[in-house]
Amino acid sequence: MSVSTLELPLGPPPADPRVSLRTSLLGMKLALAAIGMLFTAFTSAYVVRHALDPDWHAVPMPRIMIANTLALVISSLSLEVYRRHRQERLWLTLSQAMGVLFVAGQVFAWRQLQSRGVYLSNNPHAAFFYVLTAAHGLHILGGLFALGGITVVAQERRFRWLEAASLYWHFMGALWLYLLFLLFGMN
Amino acid sequence: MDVHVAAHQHEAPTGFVRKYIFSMDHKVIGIQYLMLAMVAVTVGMILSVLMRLRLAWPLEKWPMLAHIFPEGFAGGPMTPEFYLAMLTMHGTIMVFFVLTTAPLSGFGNYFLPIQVGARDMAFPFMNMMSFWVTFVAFVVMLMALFATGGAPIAGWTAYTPLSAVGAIGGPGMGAGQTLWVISIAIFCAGSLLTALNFLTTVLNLRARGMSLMRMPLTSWAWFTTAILALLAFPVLLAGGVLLLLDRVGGSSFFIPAGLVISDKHLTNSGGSPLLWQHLFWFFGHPEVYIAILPGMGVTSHILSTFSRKPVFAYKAMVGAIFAIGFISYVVWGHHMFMSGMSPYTAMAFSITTMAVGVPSAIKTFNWLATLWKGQIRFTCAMLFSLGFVSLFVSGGVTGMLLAQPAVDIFLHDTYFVVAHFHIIMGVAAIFGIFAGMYYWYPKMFGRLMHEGWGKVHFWFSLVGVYCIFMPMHFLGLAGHPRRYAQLTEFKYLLHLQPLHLFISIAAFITITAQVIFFFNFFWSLKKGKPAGDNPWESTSLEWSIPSPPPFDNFGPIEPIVHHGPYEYSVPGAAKDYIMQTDPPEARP
Amino acid sequence: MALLLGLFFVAVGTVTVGIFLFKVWWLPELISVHGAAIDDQLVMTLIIAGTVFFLAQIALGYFIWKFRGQGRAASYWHENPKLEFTWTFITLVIFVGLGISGNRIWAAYFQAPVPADAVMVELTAQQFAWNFRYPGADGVLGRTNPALIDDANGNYIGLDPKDPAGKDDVTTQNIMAIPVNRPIRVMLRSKDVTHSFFVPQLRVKQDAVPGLGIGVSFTATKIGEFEIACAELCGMQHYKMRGRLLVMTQADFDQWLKTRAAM
Ligand code: HEM
Ligand SMILES: [Cu+2]
Ligand SMILES: [Cu+2]
Repeated sequence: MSVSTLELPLGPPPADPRVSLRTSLLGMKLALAAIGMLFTAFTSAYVVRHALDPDWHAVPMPRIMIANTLALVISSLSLEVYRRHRQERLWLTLSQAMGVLFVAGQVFAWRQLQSRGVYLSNNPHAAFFYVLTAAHGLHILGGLFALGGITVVAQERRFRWLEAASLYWHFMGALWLYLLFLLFGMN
Repeated sequence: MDVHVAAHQHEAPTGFVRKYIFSMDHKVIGIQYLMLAMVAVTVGMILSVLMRLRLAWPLEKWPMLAHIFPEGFAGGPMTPEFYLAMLTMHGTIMVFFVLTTAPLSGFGNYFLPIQVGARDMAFPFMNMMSFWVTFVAFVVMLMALFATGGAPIAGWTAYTPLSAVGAIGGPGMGAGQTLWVISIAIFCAGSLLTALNFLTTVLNLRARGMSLMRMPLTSWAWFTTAILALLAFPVLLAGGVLLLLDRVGGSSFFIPAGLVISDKHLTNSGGSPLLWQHLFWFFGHPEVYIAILPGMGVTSHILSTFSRKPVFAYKAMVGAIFAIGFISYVVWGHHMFMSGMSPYTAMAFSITTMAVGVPSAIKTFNWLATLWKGQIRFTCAMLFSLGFVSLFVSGGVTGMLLAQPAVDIFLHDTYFVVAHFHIIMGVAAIFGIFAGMYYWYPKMFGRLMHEGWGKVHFWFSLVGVYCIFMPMHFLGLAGHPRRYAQLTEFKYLLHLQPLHLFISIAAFITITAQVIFFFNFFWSLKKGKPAGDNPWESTSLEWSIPSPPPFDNFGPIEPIVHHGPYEYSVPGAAKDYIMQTDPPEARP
Repeated sequence: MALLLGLFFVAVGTVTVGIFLFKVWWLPELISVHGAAIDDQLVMTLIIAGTVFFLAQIALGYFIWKFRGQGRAASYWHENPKLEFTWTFITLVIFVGLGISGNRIWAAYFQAPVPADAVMVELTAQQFAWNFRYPGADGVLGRTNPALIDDANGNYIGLDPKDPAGKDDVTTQNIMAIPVNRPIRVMLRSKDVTHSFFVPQLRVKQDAVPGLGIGVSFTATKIGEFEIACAELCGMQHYKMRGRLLVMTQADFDQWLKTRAAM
């Protein structure tokens, strides 16, 4: 019997793109796969470059980044609390505030390094530091936009938006921890 | 259920801008991509004419052209740097703005949702963005073409450190190369949005009854291609960002220590030129499959339609597409056999490359078997598909030589490679696009293209491309390196000049003949024969709806799929084709 | 149409194979020891590829003519597991077999130990010239330092004048002399961008990558003058980055080195 003659059960009705949570989440997961690939590529460049270079000077981590990390973790956690009990707006506000704090802290960290004379061109570790944190930072800005959207978008899209945004935000948190490990955990 | 969908149907936009410019309708976006590709291919072909002029008559002066490009013809004949600039822009425009946009984003956007029974892509807004981002990338690429100091000369592969050191690398390596990198980075972003949409649409928005194993092979090809794009473009993006920083930020990702260029000492240190090559080809090899897989899908679909037979071994075809897609991620090193990469690594890449030949061969066998005992109808779409099969074989077999590092010692970076990739990636993919165009034009525009002119176009194209690209194998065998502005500097190459002349003349004729296609395209918009819903008596979903399809594709009807995609000549059936949406009883 | 197209594909197959068979255009003559195996492999693969190519084009042409529409019903034949298995298996054997035999030649080429008596030559590529260096009587190359490179004053590779080992080094630009029938070891470097050292008759090609030193070995078997081409795009004069390779007797070579050293 050929494939085409197999009588397959008629599946569930196709989801309408505008209402489907499944669609949003799938799209987000695929986007995260692409973002993951981007950072995988950066990582492989980092590893190759690290192995090659005699004058690889590790830049010490700016202290403030501990606070930044904490802010991002709190942001992720409070967003999760909000996602589960959606009544408490406060949790969302806290999450957003912590996200903004993270960005501010990162800008401060960059400034600090620059005032210490650490630039892109100084040494490869510094270059990777800037590239990785900037790439992550841009994604965080996108995430803040998404978090801001949760209470703004039309009622019927809100739930999907929240679910997708949370997924994204948690991924960014995890990615951050990974980057910290890559940049400072292996020296 | 119908009520549910109807309640959420998109409303068709009414204003001109929302309808045709910033449209979120996948069909309009598909046509926008096709238009972009048509502009791009015209530019790319004009550049190749300029190249061929120089290769045929290296020191000839061209006063007319000198008028248009005073710098490129400074002193009379075309300068070698102008040749290389044309080469770089030709390759880049063809690979990115023609072979990625037309087969995947163009036809895919238009027909993937319809073929799987969806009313639109999963994320229409993102879809619109993807086109406009790509459009911006194209504009930036054109800016690179006209940049002060000239267009970049580092080839479409932009090998570092040449592409990383800035203006001292040579003419065009300043602003031109920077714009090139920026354009490529933007292009990556646009392609990612497209890929995301395709995948989500296939996975989540299929119509009832449209199981994965009932999808037409075209949809399978777009789906697989989208996976490749989703995972390959981020890597190029990463490479592009690092390259840009090397150029403008003073970093040294790809620039090693102690370089002295034109007697100027660089201060960079520690970067790795091979790192760029790895990042580039990790993207680059999947990219050539991004270019060709949709063509394979279209060919399977059309061969079946016009030989009135089911595709031979549908399951194996799906498996082969997937195998090719998967293996194409682990073969990139075959571009780097002579690069100084470890020779042991080369051995591994050689084996994986040979392995990717197997599913490719299976596809070819299946195409031939699809023709076997068919009743072939020689429409233009069919002719181009048959041409595709022939070209795919011609380009494929030379892969057996290039995949062996030992043999590649001689053939690497010679015209043999130019012949190989033009036939299998360039021209075969272009034939896939033409086949798709003749096949789907009536659906998109409601009128048939003129078959007679189409056949003239076909014959010029088929004979032409063989005359252009077959002789390049002989240039390569004789040891002619690629990317040479002329061969007259080397005694051992002098005897090859007549071949260049022959190729150039063939190229001029073939390229001129493409005017027929463009003429046919625009003429048929108004004057073509009205097409009706299903002029080819095809089975897939797009042929069950009006031509051109209404805004939400299926109108009030909810498509329900009862049959496989290639039910042609089913014994005992009333007609020689059963459409996918025909009722179950259509099949005896 | 069917007949025409069928015949065309048959013609493509025949003409192409014919041109190959009659070697109208062919590989440049072979002048190296390791090259024989490469040529054999190349020819063998070409024969296999050519056969596949020829048969496929003929089959395509024949099918097109044979199954042109004649108003009958097409067959519903669309599966044959045995057939599919057979051709999958056969292609697998051909491809993997070719891969393995090719790899053996490759391994023999790059794993061959460099004999102690090999002539050492250092090659530093630059836009758009080849700089060669021979160690001279002491058999040792002098120190170099990129910081000392000064094209304007002829120090193309950054020779360190303070190193006594470098005093007798012989340097040339765009001329490389080697003795016939003796193993040669070339150490490739580049001082600016990536180039590729390509001598078609030797069947040698290797990128010269800045920041890396890559060795290639070969033994030339024929006296004469040959050309060195650049096979990696390196800038606007890539097409005329030409060097001369002089293969000579050992005696001539010794003499050549002496005259060069005196220069
Ligand atoms: C009739 C059509 C075409 C002609 C006459 C033509 C001609 C040429 C020529 C003369 C070169 C330069 C070879 C060299 O100096 O090494 C070249 C390079 C190239 N072409 Fe085409 N071409 C055509 C169509 C295409 C198409 C359809 C593609 C799409 C893939 C394509 C992609 C490329 C690429 C990627 C390169 C390499 C550029 C580089 O070395 O960076 N060409 N072509
Ligand atoms: Cu490849
Ligand atoms: Cu070169």
